[in-house]
Amino acid sequence: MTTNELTYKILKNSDDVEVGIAVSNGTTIPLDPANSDYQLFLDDINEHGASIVEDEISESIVTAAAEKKFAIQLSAYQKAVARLTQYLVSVGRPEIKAMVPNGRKVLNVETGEMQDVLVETITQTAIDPLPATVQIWQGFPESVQVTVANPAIVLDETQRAAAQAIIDATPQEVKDAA
Amino acid sequence: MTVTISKPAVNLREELSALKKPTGIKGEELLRANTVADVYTSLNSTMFRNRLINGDFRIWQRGVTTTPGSGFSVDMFRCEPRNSTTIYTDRSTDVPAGQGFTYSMRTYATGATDDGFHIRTYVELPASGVYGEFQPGTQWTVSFWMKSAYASRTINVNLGLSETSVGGSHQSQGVASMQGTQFVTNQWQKYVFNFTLPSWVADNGSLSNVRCLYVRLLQGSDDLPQDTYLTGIQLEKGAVATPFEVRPIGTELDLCQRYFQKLANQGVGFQPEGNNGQNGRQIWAFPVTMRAAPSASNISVTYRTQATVYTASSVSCTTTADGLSEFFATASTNPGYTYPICLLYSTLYLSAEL
Repeated sequence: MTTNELTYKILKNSDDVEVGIAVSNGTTIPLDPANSDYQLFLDDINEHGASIVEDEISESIVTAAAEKKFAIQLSAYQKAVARLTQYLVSVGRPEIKAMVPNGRKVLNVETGEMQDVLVETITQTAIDPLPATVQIWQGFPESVQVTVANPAIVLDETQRAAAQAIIDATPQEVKDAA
Repeated sequence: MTVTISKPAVNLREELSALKKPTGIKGEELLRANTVADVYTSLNSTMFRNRLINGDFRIWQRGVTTTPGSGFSVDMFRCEPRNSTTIYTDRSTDVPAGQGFTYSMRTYATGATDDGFHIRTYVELPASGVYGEFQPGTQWTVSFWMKSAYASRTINVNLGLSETSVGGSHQSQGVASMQGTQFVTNQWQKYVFNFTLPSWVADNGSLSNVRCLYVRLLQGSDDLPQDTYLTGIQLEKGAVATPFEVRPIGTELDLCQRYFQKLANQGVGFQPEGNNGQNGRQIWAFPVTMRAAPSASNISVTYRTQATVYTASSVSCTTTADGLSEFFATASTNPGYTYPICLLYSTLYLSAEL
């Protein structure tokens, strides 16, 4: 079922209990979170607002839609944050060394306790920055060599900008839950 | 005293020959079983090993004629149009020779500017966010028969977890096959794709909300008409593609009806209550309990009392996973509460698809 331009009406029985949703395309949706059309109904509310439902929406439906929106925003935020923690390909990254236990233990004669043997280990390998520009051939049939911005850097910057935009648009309560 | 004992003659050649009985692969496996558990494991691997339902396309509850659109046409399979491509799906009797299949699914979009389509099916997970047997590190094999009316078309398969079989707000990253893209010829050919499932990572939303493993047959490409035939699709555990598992058709129909049922020529009566007798509670158990409470659509109903036939301008009926529960109509005139209402459903579609 497509959700384009659909409107909804809440069905209540003679006991005034909500029992389903009548859709303008003739479908009846149950109030069952496991039903895929019900999930699309919640998506529609989140996208278009409560005005797509003829009647006042009950608190349980409002809550279900809000929880779904929250879960989607939280996931997108976490993904965006993870993207920004990656190194800038135009800058590269340095090598990092640290003293790491190698699995062996020796007796510390001063304290009388066994302690880890530490060895210097590379915990992050170095990656050189990419060149800011690259040369490519352009034109057909007469080709000329031109210098352009490195496409890998352009892609990196585009993705980082998109991630930053998601972070900026994320409500604070979602950020706090991350 | 002398005692004479006579023993029957033993033909050593025959005895040795008996030891070389042609037990076959499965017989050898059973003979090698050390425990009862080994025997059960060996036998169970032959039953319901195909996790996909309707893989040989015998069940078409929605009808076998062309159905444009992106929804389900044949049971358990749906098309995923690329861009605005209009797709048609037909039941075909063009099948690979000698394999025992009766039908294939023909899917086509033959306009020169069509951008093609992909085909999807799914396996329901035990519960939302619970991967069941699709654990990281497990090996799976997808196999099927396919041919294309056009030359130079390709096929690849990927798997993933999702809220629904197409789209949905919660999805994992897809898992690529080990084989990668393969060419589809204009002759029937069996294709095999192997997978080792990774640690699942959310691509959108949350993995706690995924409810199915989707199988996605990637075919579409920009400005390329497509016309493909598919049958005998199987998803099984392990790295080996075994012959297609044929299940009894009644079993296959029951499996399909967990997700979709088309009911026809069914009747139900109820005492009217509410909205001047236009509403009521109808108790009607479905032949198969569905995955979840289904959506009801394509409702065509005759609505009458013992004295009067009414025209219903709109009909809604609510459901549970087990059956219909309540009925809402807008009738041409109000039936009132005097007489019981009789509903005769000429068609009713119930969908609990993922």
